Amino acid sequence: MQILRATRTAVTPEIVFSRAENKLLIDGECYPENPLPFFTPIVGALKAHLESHRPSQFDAHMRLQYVNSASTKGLQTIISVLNDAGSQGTNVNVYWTHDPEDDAMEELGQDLVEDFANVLLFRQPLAA
Amino acid sequence: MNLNTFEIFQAQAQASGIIFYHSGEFTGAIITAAAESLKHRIEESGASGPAKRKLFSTFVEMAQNILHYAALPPGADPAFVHGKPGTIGIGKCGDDYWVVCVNRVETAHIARLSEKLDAVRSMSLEDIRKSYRAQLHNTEHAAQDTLSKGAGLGWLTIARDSKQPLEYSFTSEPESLGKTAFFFVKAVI
Repeated sequence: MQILRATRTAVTPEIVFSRAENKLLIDGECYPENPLPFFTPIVGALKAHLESHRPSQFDAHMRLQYVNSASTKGLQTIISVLNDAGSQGTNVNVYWTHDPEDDAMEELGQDLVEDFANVLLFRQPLAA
Repeated sequence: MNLNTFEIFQAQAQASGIIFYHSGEFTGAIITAAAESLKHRIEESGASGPAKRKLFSTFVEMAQNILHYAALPPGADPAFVHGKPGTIGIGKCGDDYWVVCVNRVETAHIARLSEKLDAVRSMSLEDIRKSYRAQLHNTEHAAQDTLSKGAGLGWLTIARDSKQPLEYSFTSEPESLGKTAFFFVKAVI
Protein backbone atom coordinates (compact mmCIF):
# COMPACT_ATOMS: atom_id res chain seq x y z
CA MET A 1 0.00 0.00 0.00
CA GLN A 2 1.38 3.38 -0.98
CA ILE A 3 -0.42 5.49 1.61
CA LEU A 4 -0.81 4.74 5.28
CA ARG A 5 -3.48 6.76 7.03
CA ALA A 6 -4.75 7.13 10.57
CA THR A 7 -7.93 9.13 11.06
CA ARG A 8 -7.88 11.85 13.69
CA THR A 9 -9.54 10.94 16.99
CA ALA A 10 -10.26 13.04 20.10
CA VAL A 11 -6.83 12.11 21.49
CA THR A 12 -4.69 11.22 18.46
CA PRO A 13 -3.75 13.25 15.36
CA GLU A 14 -4.38 12.47 11.72
CA ILE A 15 -1.49 10.67 10.06
CA VAL A 16 -0.87 10.49 6.34
CA PHE A 17 2.27 8.68 5.27
CA SER A 18 2.76 8.74 1.52
CA ARG A 19 5.53 6.40 0.46
CA ALA A 20 5.28 7.49 -3.18
CA GLU A 21 5.79 11.16 -2.30
CA ASN A 22 8.15 10.51 0.63
CA LYS A 23 6.00 12.63 2.89
CA LEU A 24 4.64 12.27 6.37
CA LEU A 25 1.91 14.47 7.82
CA ILE A 26 0.95 14.47 11.49
CA ASP A 27 -1.85 16.91 12.23
CA GLY A 28 -3.89 17.37 15.40
CA GLU A 29 -3.73 16.81 19.14
CA CYS A 30 -1.87 13.91 20.65
CA TYR A 31 -2.62 12.81 24.22
CA PRO A 32 -3.48 9.11 24.31
CA GLU A 33 -3.14 7.56 27.80
CA ASN A 34 -0.97 4.84 26.26
CA PRO A 35 0.95 6.19 23.24
CA LEU A 36 2.65 2.93 22.25
CA PRO A 37 -0.20 1.35 20.22
CA PHE A 38 -0.59 4.63 18.35
CA PHE A 39 3.09 5.19 17.49
CA THR A 40 4.27 1.63 16.90
CA PRO A 41 2.65 1.09 13.44
CA ILE A 42 3.78 4.43 12.02
CA VAL A 43 7.32 4.08 13.38
CA GLY A 44 7.54 0.56 11.90
CA ALA A 45 6.19 1.59 8.48
CA LEU A 46 8.44 4.64 8.32
CA LYS A 47 11.54 2.70 9.27
CA ALA A 48 10.82 -0.12 6.78
CA HIS A 49 10.24 2.36 3.95
CA LEU A 50 13.30 4.51 4.63
CA GLU A 51 15.59 1.51 5.05
CA SER A 52 14.43 -0.27 1.90
CA HIS A 53 14.01 2.75 -0.41
CA ARG A 54 16.68 5.18 0.79
CA PRO A 55 14.91 8.17 -0.81
CA SER A 56 16.99 11.24 -1.65
CA GLN A 57 14.43 13.53 0.01
CA PHE A 58 11.90 13.09 2.82
CA ASP A 59 9.56 15.75 4.26
CA ALA A 60 7.78 15.45 7.58
CA HIS A 61 5.04 17.98 8.31
CA MET A 62 4.12 18.10 11.98
CA ARG A 63 1.23 20.33 12.98
CA LEU A 64 0.55 19.55 16.57
CA GLN A 65 -1.65 21.70 18.77
CA TYR A 66 -1.03 19.74 21.93
CA VAL A 67 1.13 16.76 22.95
CA ASN A 68 1.01 15.04 26.36
CA SER A 69 4.28 14.20 28.05
CA ALA A 70 3.94 10.46 27.41
CA SER A 71 3.65 11.04 23.62
CA THR A 72 6.80 13.12 23.32
CA LYS A 73 8.87 9.91 23.34
CA GLY A 74 6.85 8.60 20.38
CA LEU A 75 7.51 11.77 18.42
CA GLN A 76 11.15 11.54 19.32
CA THR A 77 11.31 7.98 18.03
CA ILE A 78 9.92 9.21 14.69
CA ILE A 79 12.60 11.94 14.56
CA SER A 80 15.24 9.36 15.46
CA VAL A 81 14.12 7.11 12.56
CA LEU A 82 14.27 10.13 10.23
CA ASN A 83 17.72 10.97 11.57
CA ASP A 84 18.94 7.44 10.79
CA ALA A 85 17.74 7.94 7.20
CA GLY A 86 19.53 11.30 7.20
CA SER A 87 22.77 9.62 8.19
CA GLN A 88 22.29 7.22 5.23
CA GLY A 89 22.09 10.11 2.77
CA THR A 90 18.42 11.10 2.76
CA ASN A 91 17.85 14.83 2.91
CA VAL A 92 15.30 15.11 5.74
CA ASN A 93 13.24 18.24 6.41
CA VAL A 94 10.95 18.49 9.42
CA TYR A 95 8.37 21.28 9.16
CA TRP A 96 7.13 22.00 12.68
CA THR A 97 4.03 24.18 12.67
CA HIS A 98 2.91 25.64 16.00
CA ASP A 99 0.55 28.19 17.47
CA PRO A 100 2.61 31.45 17.59
CA GLU A 101 1.39 32.06 21.18
CA ASP A 102 2.44 28.62 22.36
CA ASP A 103 6.04 28.66 23.62
CA ALA A 104 5.87 25.06 24.85
CA MET A 105 4.98 23.67 21.42
CA GLU A 106 7.53 25.93 19.76
CA GLU A 107 10.26 24.67 22.12
CA LEU A 108 9.20 21.06 21.78
CA GLY A 109 10.10 21.15 18.08
CA GLN A 110 13.59 22.35 18.94
CA ASP A 111 13.97 19.96 21.89
CA LEU A 112 12.99 16.96 19.75
CA VAL A 113 15.64 17.52 17.09
CA GLU A 114 18.38 18.41 19.57
CA ASP A 115 21.14 15.77 19.35
CA PHE A 116 19.97 14.72 15.87
CA ALA A 117 22.37 16.23 13.36
CA ASN A 118 20.86 14.66 10.22
CA VAL A 119 17.45 16.30 10.14
CA LEU A 120 16.75 19.91 9.31
CA LEU A 121 14.04 21.64 11.36
CA PHE A 122 11.88 24.46 10.01
CA ARG A 123 9.65 26.01 12.63
CA GLN A 124 6.62 27.77 11.27
CA PRO A 125 4.18 29.77 13.39
CA LEU A 126 0.68 28.92 12.19
CA ALA A 127 -0.95 31.90 10.49
CA ALA A 128 -4.03 32.98 12.45
CA MET B 1 -27.91 15.34 51.78
CA ASN B 2 -31.06 17.44 51.57
CA LEU B 3 -31.55 19.96 48.77
CA ASN B 4 -30.81 22.89 51.00
CA THR B 5 -27.43 21.43 52.00
CA PHE B 6 -26.72 20.76 48.35
CA GLU B 7 -27.53 24.39 47.48
CA ILE B 8 -25.05 25.56 50.10
CA PHE B 9 -22.43 23.16 48.71
CA GLN B 10 -23.01 24.47 45.19
CA ALA B 11 -22.95 28.13 46.27
CA GLN B 12 -19.66 27.55 48.09
CA ALA B 13 -18.17 25.87 45.03
CA GLN B 14 -19.19 28.83 42.90
CA ALA B 15 -17.87 31.34 45.43
CA SER B 16 -14.51 29.53 45.43
CA GLY B 17 -14.20 30.22 41.72
CA ILE B 18 -14.38 26.57 40.69
CA ILE B 19 -14.68 26.13 36.94
CA PHE B 20 -14.16 22.36 36.86
CA TYR B 21 -14.44 19.60 39.44
CA HIS B 22 -14.51 15.85 39.06
CA SER B 23 -14.31 13.47 41.96
CA GLY B 24 -14.75 9.80 41.29
CA GLU B 25 -13.65 7.34 38.70
CA PHE B 26 -10.97 8.20 36.11
CA THR B 27 -10.91 6.08 32.96
CA GLY B 28 -9.55 6.84 29.49
CA ALA B 29 -13.07 7.57 28.24
CA ILE B 30 -13.89 9.85 31.18
CA ILE B 31 -10.63 11.78 30.76
CA THR B 32 -11.31 12.29 27.04
CA ALA B 33 -14.85 13.52 27.70
CA ALA B 34 -13.77 15.71 30.63
CA ALA B 35 -10.92 17.20 28.56
CA GLU B 36 -13.42 18.16 25.85
CA SER B 37 -15.78 19.74 28.38
CA LEU B 38 -12.89 21.49 30.14
CA LYS B 39 -11.79 23.10 26.86
CA HIS B 40 -15.17 24.84 26.64
CA ARG B 41 -15.12 25.89 30.30
CA ILE B 42 -11.62 27.38 29.90
CA GLU B 43 -12.75 29.22 26.78
CA GLU B 44 -15.77 30.65 28.66
CA SER B 45 -13.61 31.71 31.61
CA GLY B 46 -11.71 34.10 29.31
CA ALA B 47 -8.22 32.61 29.75
CA SER B 48 -5.46 33.85 27.42
CA GLY B 49 -4.07 31.59 24.68
CA PRO B 50 -1.03 30.39 26.66
CA ALA B 51 -3.06 29.94 29.89
CA LYS B 52 -5.61 27.83 27.99
CA ARG B 53 -2.92 25.45 26.78
CA LYS B 54 -1.28 25.28 30.21
CA LEU B 55 -4.56 24.56 32.01
CA PHE B 56 -5.46 21.87 29.52
CA SER B 57 -2.00 20.28 29.66
CA THR B 58 -1.90 20.32 33.47
CA PHE B 59 -5.34 18.68 33.61
CA VAL B 60 -4.34 15.93 31.15
CA GLU B 61 -1.04 15.19 32.94
CA MET B 62 -2.74 15.05 36.35
CA ALA B 63 -5.69 12.97 35.12
CA GLN B 64 -3.40 10.47 33.39
CA ASN B 65 -1.27 10.31 36.55
CA ILE B 66 -4.39 9.28 38.49
CA LEU B 67 -5.28 6.69 35.86
CA HIS B 68 -1.78 5.20 35.82
CA TYR B 69 -0.68 5.47 39.44
CA ALA B 70 -3.57 5.97 41.89
CA ALA B 71 -3.85 3.28 44.55
CA LEU B 72 -7.25 1.67 45.17
CA PRO B 73 -9.37 2.25 48.29
CA PRO B 74 -8.77 -0.04 51.27
CA GLY B 75 -10.50 -3.37 50.76
CA ALA B 76 -11.25 -2.79 47.06
CA ASP B 77 -11.05 -5.92 44.94
CA PRO B 78 -9.07 -4.98 41.80
CA ALA B 79 -11.14 -7.48 39.81
CA PHE B 80 -14.26 -5.35 40.37
CA VAL B 81 -12.72 -1.91 40.03
CA HIS B 82 -13.31 0.02 36.84
CA GLY B 83 -10.93 2.97 36.44
CA LYS B 84 -9.13 4.72 39.30
CA PRO B 85 -10.67 6.94 41.96
CA GLY B 86 -9.35 10.48 42.27
CA THR B 87 -10.26 14.16 42.25
CA ILE B 88 -9.28 17.13 40.09
CA GLY B 89 -10.46 20.67 40.73
CA ILE B 90 -9.71 23.78 38.69
CA GLY B 91 -10.59 27.28 39.79
CA LYS B 92 -9.90 30.93 39.23
CA CYS B 93 -8.50 33.20 41.92
CA GLY B 94 -7.90 36.80 40.79
CA ASP B 95 -5.86 36.58 37.59
CA ASP B 96 -4.55 33.10 38.37
CA TYR B 97 -5.95 29.64 37.91
CA TRP B 98 -5.26 26.82 40.35
CA VAL B 99 -5.35 23.12 39.51
CA VAL B 100 -5.39 20.56 42.31
CA CYS B 101 -5.36 16.79 42.02
CA VAL B 102 -5.87 14.24 44.77
CA ASN B 103 -5.46 10.49 44.70
CA ARG B 104 -4.49 7.62 46.95
CA VAL B 105 -0.92 6.39 46.85
CA GLU B 106 0.74 3.50 48.61
CA THR B 107 2.60 4.80 51.66
CA ALA B 108 5.63 2.85 50.41
CA HIS B 109 5.82 5.32 47.49
CA ILE B 110 5.67 8.51 49.58
CA ALA B 111 9.46 8.86 49.91
CA ARG B 112 9.99 8.37 46.18
CA LEU B 113 7.27 10.89 45.23
CA SER B 114 8.51 13.46 47.76
CA GLU B 115 12.02 13.15 46.39
CA LYS B 116 10.81 13.71 42.81
CA LEU B 117 8.63 16.68 43.74
CA ASP B 118 11.22 18.29 46.02
CA ALA B 119 13.74 18.10 43.18
CA VAL B 120 11.32 19.79 40.77
CA ARG B 121 10.29 22.37 43.40
CA SER B 122 13.89 23.46 43.88
CA MET B 123 14.39 24.18 40.16
CA SER B 124 14.16 27.51 38.38
CA LEU B 125 12.20 27.62 35.13
CA GLU B 126 15.48 27.44 33.23
CA ASP B 127 16.52 24.35 35.28
CA ILE B 128 13.14 22.74 34.58
CA ARG B 129 13.59 23.28 30.84
CA LYS B 130 17.12 21.87 30.98
CA SER B 131 15.98 18.82 32.92
CA TYR B 132 13.10 18.36 30.49
CA ARG B 133 15.49 18.33 27.52
CA ALA B 134 17.86 15.93 29.28
CA GLN B 135 15.02 13.58 30.21
CA LEU B 136 13.56 13.70 26.68
CA HIS B 137 16.87 12.38 25.37
CA ASN B 138 17.35 9.90 28.21
CA THR B 139 17.00 6.50 26.58
CA GLU B 140 17.67 4.72 29.89
CA HIS B 141 14.52 5.99 31.67
CA ALA B 142 12.55 2.72 31.51
CA ALA B 143 15.47 0.84 33.04
CA GLN B 144 16.22 3.53 35.65
CA ASP B 145 12.65 3.93 36.90
CA THR B 146 10.70 0.72 36.63
CA LEU B 147 7.63 2.18 38.39
CA SER B 148 7.24 4.93 35.77
CA LYS B 149 4.85 4.18 32.93
CA GLY B 150 5.62 7.28 30.90
CA ALA B 151 8.57 9.25 29.65
CA GLY B 152 9.53 10.62 33.10
CA LEU B 153 8.41 14.05 31.93
CA GLY B 154 5.06 14.41 33.71
CA TRP B 155 6.08 16.46 36.78
CA LEU B 156 8.49 18.56 34.74
CA THR B 157 5.70 19.30 32.26
CA ILE B 158 3.32 20.33 35.07
CA ALA B 159 6.01 22.36 36.86
CA ARG B 160 7.04 24.16 33.68
CA ASP B 161 3.51 25.54 33.33
CA SER B 162 3.11 26.50 37.00
CA LYS B 163 3.82 30.10 38.09
CA GLN B 164 4.73 28.87 41.56
CA PRO B 165 6.64 25.80 42.75
CA LEU B 166 4.27 22.83 42.88
CA GLU B 167 2.73 22.42 46.35
CA TYR B 168 2.15 18.92 47.60
CA SER B 169 1.10 17.08 50.74
CA PHE B 170 0.17 13.65 52.00
CA THR B 171 -2.69 12.89 54.40
CA SER B 172 -2.89 9.53 56.09
CA GLU B 173 -5.90 7.30 55.58
CA PRO B 174 -6.45 5.46 58.90
CA GLU B 175 -8.90 2.94 57.37
CA SER B 176 -6.09 1.58 55.21
CA LEU B 177 -4.07 0.63 58.34
CA GLY B 178 -1.05 2.50 57.02
CA LYS B 179 -1.11 1.06 53.51
CA THR B 180 -2.33 4.14 51.62
CA ALA B 181 -2.40 7.92 51.98
CA PHE B 182 -4.00 10.77 50.04
CA PHE B 183 -1.61 12.68 47.82
CA PHE B 184 -2.43 16.32 46.96
CA VAL B 185 -0.65 18.41 44.31
CA LYS B 186 -1.38 22.01 43.37
CA ALA B 187 -0.20 24.00 40.36
CA VAL B 188 -0.90 27.70 39.70
CA ILE B 189 -1.31 29.01 36.16
